[in-house]
Amino acid sequence: MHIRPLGAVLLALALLPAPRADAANFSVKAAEAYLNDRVLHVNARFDLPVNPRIVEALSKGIPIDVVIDVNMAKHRWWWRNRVITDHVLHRRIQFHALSRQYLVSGLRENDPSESFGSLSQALEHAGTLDEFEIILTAKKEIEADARYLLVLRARLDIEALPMLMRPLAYATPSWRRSTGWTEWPIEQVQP
Amino acid sequence: MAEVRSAKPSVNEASFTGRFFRVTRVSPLAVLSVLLAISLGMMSAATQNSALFGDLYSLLLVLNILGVVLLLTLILLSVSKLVRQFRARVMGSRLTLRLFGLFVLLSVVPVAVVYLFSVQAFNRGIDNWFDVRIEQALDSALALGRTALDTTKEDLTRKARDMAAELDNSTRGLLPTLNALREQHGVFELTLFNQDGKVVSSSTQGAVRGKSVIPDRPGETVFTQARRGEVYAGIEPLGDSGLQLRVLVPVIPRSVGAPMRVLQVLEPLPERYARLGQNVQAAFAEYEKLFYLRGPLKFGFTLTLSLVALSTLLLAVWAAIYAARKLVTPIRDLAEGTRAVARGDYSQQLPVPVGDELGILVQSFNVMTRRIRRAQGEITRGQREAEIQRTYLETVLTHLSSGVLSFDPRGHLRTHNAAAHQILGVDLLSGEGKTLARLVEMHPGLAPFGVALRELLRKAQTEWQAEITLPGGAGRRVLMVRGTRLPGLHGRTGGHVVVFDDITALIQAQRDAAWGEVARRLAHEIKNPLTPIQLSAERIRHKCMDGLPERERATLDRATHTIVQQVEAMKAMVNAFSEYARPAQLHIQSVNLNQLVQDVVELYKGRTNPVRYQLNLDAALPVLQADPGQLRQVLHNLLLNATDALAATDNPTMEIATRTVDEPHGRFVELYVRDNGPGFAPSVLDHLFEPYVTTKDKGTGLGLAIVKKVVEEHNGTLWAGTLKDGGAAFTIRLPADVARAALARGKNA
Repeated sequence: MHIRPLGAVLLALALLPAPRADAANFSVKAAEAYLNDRVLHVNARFDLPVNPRIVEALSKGIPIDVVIDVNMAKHRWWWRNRVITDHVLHRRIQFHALSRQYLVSGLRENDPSESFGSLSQALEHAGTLDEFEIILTAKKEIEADARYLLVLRARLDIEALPMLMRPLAYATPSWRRSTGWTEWPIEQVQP
Repeated sequence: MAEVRSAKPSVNEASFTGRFFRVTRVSPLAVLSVLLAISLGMMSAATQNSALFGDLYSLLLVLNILGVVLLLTLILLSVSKLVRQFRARVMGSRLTLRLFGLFVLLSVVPVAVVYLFSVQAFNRGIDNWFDVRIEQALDSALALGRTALDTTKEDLTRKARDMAAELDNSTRGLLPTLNALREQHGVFELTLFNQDGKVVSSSTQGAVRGKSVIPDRPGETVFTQARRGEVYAGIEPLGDSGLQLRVLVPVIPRSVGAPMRVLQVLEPLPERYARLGQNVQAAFAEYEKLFYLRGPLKFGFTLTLSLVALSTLLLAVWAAIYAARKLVTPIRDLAEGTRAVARGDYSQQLPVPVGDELGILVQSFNVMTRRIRRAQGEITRGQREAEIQRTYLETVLTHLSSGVLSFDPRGHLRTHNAAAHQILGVDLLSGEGKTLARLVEMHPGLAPFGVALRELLRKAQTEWQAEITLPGGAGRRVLMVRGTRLPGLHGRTGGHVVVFDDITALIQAQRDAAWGEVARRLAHEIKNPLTPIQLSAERIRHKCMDGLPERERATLDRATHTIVQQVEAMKAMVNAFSEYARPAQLHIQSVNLNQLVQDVVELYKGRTNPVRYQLNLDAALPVLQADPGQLRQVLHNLLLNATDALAATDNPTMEIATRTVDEPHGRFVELYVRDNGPGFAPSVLDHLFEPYVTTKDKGTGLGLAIVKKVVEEHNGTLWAGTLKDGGAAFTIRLPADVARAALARGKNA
């Protein structure tokens, strides 16, 4: 059989063993949301496990950014859901060597950072949305009988890593951390 | 007009399209090269920590990889096309591939060497940046800072414990106690929390000065730890440059059942401490980061360098393909053109590449083919003309009654015409390209002609003329031969051309005509006085006879009788001459020669003749168309002649034979008369058939001349010779063909 060179390369790539993820991926532990008077209240717990590679990078002073996408979408059975509003939260975890503290910034507005004695605490706080509020502007129409969804995702932001690390991070699965998009029902509280 | 108008834009369009394709054939490479160069430049800038391109790094990387892949694909396509052409043995593909290989080798080796050395040098350089001593110094500095902070922290913890104890013992109000404690211990902020984490009371340095400050709350984890009764002491970064100490101690009530409270002490580090600490932290963090990033840095630089090297290589490869094609195209054209010229196609005109030696070469080729084509046309025209000339000459030669032979400088026969073949009576076609000596060997009958001609050619005069006498079975023949030396190349002798005519008949005719004239004059001159002589003699006899005595009378009678008799004889002779000289009057009819021979011989047998006649007659002899009277005359003359010759011979014998002879140029009836007499003397033989040639005492000397005349009038030939055992032989050959006879008849009529 005659195999073209390009075909042979593609075949070889396909036959390479798929890289194995060395730790569990990010996930959403629990989430709930309710809409009260055009204010969306979100409570969510993300599980952000880290692998030794990320721990090592953190210990060497590399800040790790976790991006949390909080979207509200209107359910449409006949087509893709329509996004009503989208919100992005950036949370940065950094090790402070002198104080041996993990600093998490972006937890609250106007608060530069919060320090934690351990990484697990820092991650737990970074992955927590506690009564996070999104105020819907007047333009966004809310229908009382429609079904709305909370669409969540938390991921490690590779683009926020130092530039030199990005190609490797993209190439290695250890750095590709994401919960993927998850959908949660939104409860509408009648006033 | 409409057509012209519509045709114009299409021409422009075509030229535009052509230009477009010419441009776009190069431009994908150029555009891709420029884009790749820009992209690589940006990536390089990004690698060198440029803020401008840092954010685009990933995108640039992907773009560059895509560019390289695209380039690689294009090159692979080009190379596979080249290989296909090579396998199909397309003209020029071998050279293209060879040039391509050479160019690739020339570009790949230096780039690969530079690349390998750069990567190695770069990796070693990066490793050299990191010094163990610096690392140790930074570690020590950090440890020192931590120790100093720990001391302060422990100090503050002790103070906090003391304050908690005092707070519990205090009897004053909470806030005054807190204020007093804060001032006493010189801390920044004191806050008391209840078990639920709510602020019970707080004292801050700023509040004393009249400012309202919201107390700083600890984190949930920290508070939980304190609530469990444990002491928490921690250093926290404050903003960008500050550090603060936070200590939480439980305030355990002495009274049982009272709720536990938590006291938080906040103390920012002095600004100088904080700055120094932050400096150490920043330096350490930066160093650690750099150390950690040296792997990715190497990887990033190696990647960039590899991409640059790969792009350069691929561009070089593409340039190699392009250059090889560009170089080979005119060479391939030339090769194809040369091959076409070798095949004889001179219409090749190649596209001329601009501005280099190859262009000059191609131009020269075009000029050369044009000239060859023109020359070829001229040659063809010349050949055609020469062919026409040759055909013309051949036609002339063929229809020439003279024989023409031409010889090359070495004496080989080159050309001959039909007349030569006819006159010489040999097949000259097989003798072409052979020398005269060889020709004579092939045809012994040609020996006298060959020998004489060779002698004449040997003398090699420019122009010569000679008579050659050929003895032969059909009688002696005389050829008038004229020769001319042909002009040769470079002043050399160019062979000879020999033209000859059989002038035997001409000479004979001249002789015959002369004799006829003589006979006519003789008859006229002699006959005139004969009658007066005879009459005078008769008158003398008549007048004087009676008056003379008997004796004289008898004498006169005898004398006059003799005169009259001799005059009669002379008259007869003159008449015979005039008969000979008179033009023939033939009465042609069918003649059976055998019958005629038998009739005549019978007459001779009847006499008292000692001659024995031997007849060998061919029974299948064809009937002749001839004048029987004349033929009878011929037979009489021959038989008389032989009989006279045999007078002194013992046992005289005569043989008379007839036969049919088939010759290439016709059918003949041959009459052969032979005797066993003395034969002819050689001196007589040459003039045997001329009048007045006789060996006899009596006779007119016209017998054989008349024989010859009759035979020739019948388009026949005759010859005579002496046999080896003595005796004479006559051969008469008469054409048996009806056509010949008819021709003769027409001629005579």
